[in-house]
Amino acid sequence: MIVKVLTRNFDKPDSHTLAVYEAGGGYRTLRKVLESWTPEQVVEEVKASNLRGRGGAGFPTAIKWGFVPKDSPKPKYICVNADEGEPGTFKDRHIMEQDPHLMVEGTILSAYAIGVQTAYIYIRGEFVLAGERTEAAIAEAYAKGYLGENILGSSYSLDIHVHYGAGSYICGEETALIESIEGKKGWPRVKPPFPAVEGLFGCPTVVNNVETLANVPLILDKGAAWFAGLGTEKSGGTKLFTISGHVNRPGLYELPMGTPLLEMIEEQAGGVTGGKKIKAVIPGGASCPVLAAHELDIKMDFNTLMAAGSMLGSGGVIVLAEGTSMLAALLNLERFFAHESCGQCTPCREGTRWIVQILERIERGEGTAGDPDTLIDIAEHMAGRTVCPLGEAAAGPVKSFVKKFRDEFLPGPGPDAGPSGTEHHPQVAGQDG
Amino acid sequence: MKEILKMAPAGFAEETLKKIDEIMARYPTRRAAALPVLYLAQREFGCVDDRALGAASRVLGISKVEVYGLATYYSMFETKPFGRNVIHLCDNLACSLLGAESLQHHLERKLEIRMGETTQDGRFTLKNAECLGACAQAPVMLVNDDVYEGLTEARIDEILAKYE
Amino acid sequence: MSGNNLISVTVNDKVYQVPAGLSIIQAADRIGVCIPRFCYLEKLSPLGGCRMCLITVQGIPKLQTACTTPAKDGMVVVTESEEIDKARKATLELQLAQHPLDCFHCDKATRCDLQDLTYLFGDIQHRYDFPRKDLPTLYDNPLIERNLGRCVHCERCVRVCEEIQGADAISATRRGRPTEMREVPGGGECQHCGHCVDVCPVGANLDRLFSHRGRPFQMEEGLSLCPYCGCGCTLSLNTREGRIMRVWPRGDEGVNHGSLCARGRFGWGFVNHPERLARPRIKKNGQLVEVDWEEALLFTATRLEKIIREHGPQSVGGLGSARATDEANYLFQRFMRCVIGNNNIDSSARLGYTAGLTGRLGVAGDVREATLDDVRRAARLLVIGADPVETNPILGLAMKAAIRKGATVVVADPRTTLTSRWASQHFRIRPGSEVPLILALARLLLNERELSAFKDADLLARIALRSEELASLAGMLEGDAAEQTVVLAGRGVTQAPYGASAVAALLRIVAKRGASYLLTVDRNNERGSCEAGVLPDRLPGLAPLSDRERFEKVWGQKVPEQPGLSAYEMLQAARDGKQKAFYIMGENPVDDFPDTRYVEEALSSAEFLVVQDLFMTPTAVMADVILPSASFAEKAGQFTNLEGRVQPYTAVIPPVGQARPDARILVELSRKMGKGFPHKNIVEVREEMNNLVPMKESQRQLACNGLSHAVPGPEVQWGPVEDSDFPYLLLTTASLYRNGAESNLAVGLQKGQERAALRLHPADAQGLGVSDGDSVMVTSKTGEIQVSVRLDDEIAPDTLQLAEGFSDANPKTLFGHEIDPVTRTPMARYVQVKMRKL
Repeated sequence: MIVKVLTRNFDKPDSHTLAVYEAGGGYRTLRKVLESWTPEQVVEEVKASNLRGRGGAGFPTAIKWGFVPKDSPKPKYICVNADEGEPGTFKDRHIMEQDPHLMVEGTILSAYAIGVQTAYIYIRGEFVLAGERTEAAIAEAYAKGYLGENILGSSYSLDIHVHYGAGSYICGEETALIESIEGKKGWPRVKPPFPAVEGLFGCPTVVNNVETLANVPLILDKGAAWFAGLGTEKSGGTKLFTISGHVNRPGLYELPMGTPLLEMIEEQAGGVTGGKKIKAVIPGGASCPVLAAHELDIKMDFNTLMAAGSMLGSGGVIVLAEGTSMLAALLNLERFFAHESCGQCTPCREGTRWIVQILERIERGEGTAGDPDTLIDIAEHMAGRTVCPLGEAAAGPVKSFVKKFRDEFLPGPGPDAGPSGTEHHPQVAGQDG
Repeated sequence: MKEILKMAPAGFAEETLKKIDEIMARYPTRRAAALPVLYLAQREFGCVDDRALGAASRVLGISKVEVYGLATYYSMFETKPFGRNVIHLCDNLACSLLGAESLQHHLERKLEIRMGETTQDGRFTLKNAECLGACAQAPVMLVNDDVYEGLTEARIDEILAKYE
Repeated sequence: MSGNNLISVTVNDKVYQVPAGLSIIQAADRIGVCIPRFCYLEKLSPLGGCRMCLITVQGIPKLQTACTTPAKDGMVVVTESEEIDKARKATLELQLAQHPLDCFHCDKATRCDLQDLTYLFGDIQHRYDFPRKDLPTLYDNPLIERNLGRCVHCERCVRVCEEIQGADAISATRRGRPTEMREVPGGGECQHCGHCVDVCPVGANLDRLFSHRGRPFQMEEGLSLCPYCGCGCTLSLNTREGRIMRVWPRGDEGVNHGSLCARGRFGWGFVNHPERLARPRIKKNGQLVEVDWEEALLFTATRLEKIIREHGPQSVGGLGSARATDEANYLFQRFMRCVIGNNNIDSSARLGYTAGLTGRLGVAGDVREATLDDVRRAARLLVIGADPVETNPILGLAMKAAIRKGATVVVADPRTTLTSRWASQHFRIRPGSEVPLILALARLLLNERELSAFKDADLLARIALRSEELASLAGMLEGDAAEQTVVLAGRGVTQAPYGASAVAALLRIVAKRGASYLLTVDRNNERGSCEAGVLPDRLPGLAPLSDRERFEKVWGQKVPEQPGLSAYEMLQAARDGKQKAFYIMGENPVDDFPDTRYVEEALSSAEFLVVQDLFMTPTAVMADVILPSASFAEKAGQFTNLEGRVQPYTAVIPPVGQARPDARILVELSRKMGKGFPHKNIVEVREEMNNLVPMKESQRQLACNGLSHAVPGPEVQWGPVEDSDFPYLLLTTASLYRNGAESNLAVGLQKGQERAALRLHPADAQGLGVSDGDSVMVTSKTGEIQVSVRLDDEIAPDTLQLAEGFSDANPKTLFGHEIDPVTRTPMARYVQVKMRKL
């Protein structure tokens, strides 16, 4: 069941402009809040809405805001995480391209709630159009007095700056993002201290995902109860899912939290291409453990997926049809993680490369009987033993792919190998015939 | 003694320096402008070469090797000269499932270069990109600032023809 | 973080009390529990990257890094368990997977943490069966090689370069597995402190001078003191078969806390240099010929006695040494006073420390003198006419350490220096205006009548400062933080006219405000030579000549009553035909004293010149007798550093050839001259000196009775007088890579910087039609030198900066020989010159 809440403007012509956004009621909430709400009331409302972070971890947003010390004499910052780089995920790019004002208004409201005077939107360097539209939206907002000194005549002032990334996936990790804004390499920091206490430029900082912030105007407009009612018991609101891979209608779908995975694939995404069976699904972006065909009867929300040993992550659903080589798919994912490993800690730096080398060997038909266990062993040493979650992210797919599809990682041609026994690439299944 | 001249730091053009000043006003530290300055340096010098490192190091107040570290860490910066047009072909899972690898072979054959290389005439540099966030329209590529979706070999041929 | 509170931590089932504010690994180190590590190092900020120090903290499910987890009261920590062992072994397996395992030809073998930990754990799996990537060794740096394949990515080198050295010359480049710890391609930012070599746990960063000169276990290590600047750093000399193979610090010992500069680390090459003087020489028929010691000493004694007989004792002058030990200097002044019979005693300390000392003696009562640790802890540093980063690099590091803790550093100096680049504010005052600046500060901060003759506006115009700028400088000495303010002053003040008055005024300000001060000292024992009595008007311990009876009693010999001549007064006396002989112990005035021609003429007018040195210096070439002396590494003794800390050290290797320690030469010569010193060894000399000049802890109890120095009147002209024939102003600076003749013979320092470079503004270079590397002829009224240029847009137009100490282009040639009437110090900070392209 599609619900158009966050995406309500997406289909309108020129949806990215201020005129269209205002016509749909945009910035009314901002005016209301600045006129009659205290920052504490905003926090309370968001807390009551059960909004959880949409970047992947699903941490309750208002609680994260609450970690910011109230009495700090230092400036506070909010960083908007628009470094959407998780393969299979493209929701934030759509928000920025089709309704950037929603993000901007959400940022202003959240900044007001936390007492922030400067916000940075960290956009992937590759997102040219999203960046242009975000910058244009910010300029429009300044021109209309929604940003800058004394917003809408209130005593509240806020500046928003756009900061472009430059090609590093790990900058989506919040402390790496902070380092990157500070002009450093995107090396995640050791925690504690957490950003809420010592973040950007050593000051209290909140990092929120684009989609998370885009929900805030809606919560404050229609109320926490309405928002909470859209979701499950523990997680309010709708969720933007992006479905890609072997489906007939890949795309962005706004659905209630807890929508069954199979319903998503069959009803929204139009089923698997060529009428094939599903072999496996990665439910929440490249770093989430894969679900095998028998595990797909599952509701898509943070807790259910966690219980099933996977994650909702960023809601990027990648569907793999029968005939797909799981070896080639895993190799593709692990090459990505090896390329994006920052290199500061040993298990991730050395482990990701070794994993890729073993997978390449298996793909060449030179694998050994011990390889599957070695892969799992390396992955287990990476999970939870690295500075940041990238080690875990790279390990999850290895463990789940190898455990669930072990035969394909053993020496000799696997069940889904091409006719010659050497053609293992996913594209074999992707092409008709 | 003559009046001591205030000389602009050598390296960047005057208008770039003006732009850098504007950018620096957004941050409490000079160094925070590193990524925007590197983008400007790459545009001005063609790539982040030794002159660009020197110029960026001066305006940012950090050592050259620190700048070099950034330029080699972030994949969008190049320390060696590259082609007039840069093709970034996504090879992540969603694009790969829908045939990105054979498109890569097509590009390599057509341009007579391998991934990471530049054509003899300097017209194209071919690179892999990580997920461009357009998985629903896979396979995709970025040529300079333009995203092209739903690629096929024929469509790639048409697209390349547009770039000089 | 308070270090006084104790907390209770349970480690491996035992309860320990440890200071609060430590990480778990720090606590473990203090209680003797060993946790393996690659990246952690106490003096660096923790990285948490190597993942070797994983431990279990009760209540936290995942393993934690001991280096980044704070120890808290009541915490229960387990450092050894099956899970931990497995994790550490897995990490080691990953490290070994990429390591080239080329220990057979690695200089680090047997002193390698990777070897040691692999040995310790024993049964590590080696499942990695892919060919190892052959990574290159980088030679961007002339002194340090970077072997990328051996790197374990601990980043100690990156952090030490950033956090301690402040050079930021190494960075992690690229990312993921291909990450390389390296310099910018081509290098050029390294200051060659070599700290990255020391902290490297493996053989990734190595000393290129040492390359394949021996296994670590073949080295003998002996502690010594650095022979270059006044910091007095502790060195560990690695020797093999009596020759130095390399130098490193010993742990964190010494005033240097484990850091060295380029000179300390790579400047040892002169010790075993083939040109070292190995046998005495005397001049026979105009030729210097090698003779044995007996003949040389007898010849020297006879000639000196003859000159004394014919021209009286006043006709002999002596230069002790700002490089030699306290004991040698002490014997030298006793030799001059008791054996020769006059007070004509001086040294190259006259160019620096002596002037500051004269200023200090002009202030009655206590003035707090800072230590290097005080500088490290300082909240504010005011630096006037000094460049500690180059003259005294470890003092420079102390300053940088203070900056990292938030200290404000304000520099007043006409030059652009490595120090001024670190300043929060750099006031580029007019050349030669350090003294008026101090007078202006004194007018603001002291209430003294003799200063009332000045007008503030006149002073400010001379300094080129606005009154609010002066107020902000003065502000450094005001307020609650004054106690944590350290004033650093250098040769910009002490080599200026009325430098002693300025130092005295500065010290009165410091004393009044409760601040402290430290004078930069260019040479290792300027201070020790003065305190040992190598001064024409002061006895050991700075005792006035009127105190001589006390010394005569101990020495059993008479001390002349009349004050002697200072260095330039002796030179002038020689030119006037009054001084017939010079005894020069370990000084090289031809190179080191301003106005080279004047010095040469003075020395050549003397009938008899004795030079005691390591090398055939331009001064030694003129000698009638050359007595080869032992280098610092070959003798025992003590040096007194810029803080006044007296530091004894012992000989590490035997002297080259027949070279002898200075003290022994003096004892033997005194015996040849019939007034033999009784000392049998250096310890007896030290005891005699300590009895006369008592020590308190590591400092001497000095006689600092007040002198009074006239404050100059407003009519004095400070700074250069414009001269259209000589349109440029050349300012001298210091170099990290040179400090005296020895440094020019140290291969490591030659590699660090081969030749002198004249820095000038691009606008001046353009006017002259020169670019980087071109040669110019620089001419002053007194001399000329040829030097290559380096463009630098951070220095002021119309000024040139040239470092002292390079033998290929010595700025001393360009200076005159005028001396300040009070300090008797020659002026050599700035000179008007002209320049032409060659």
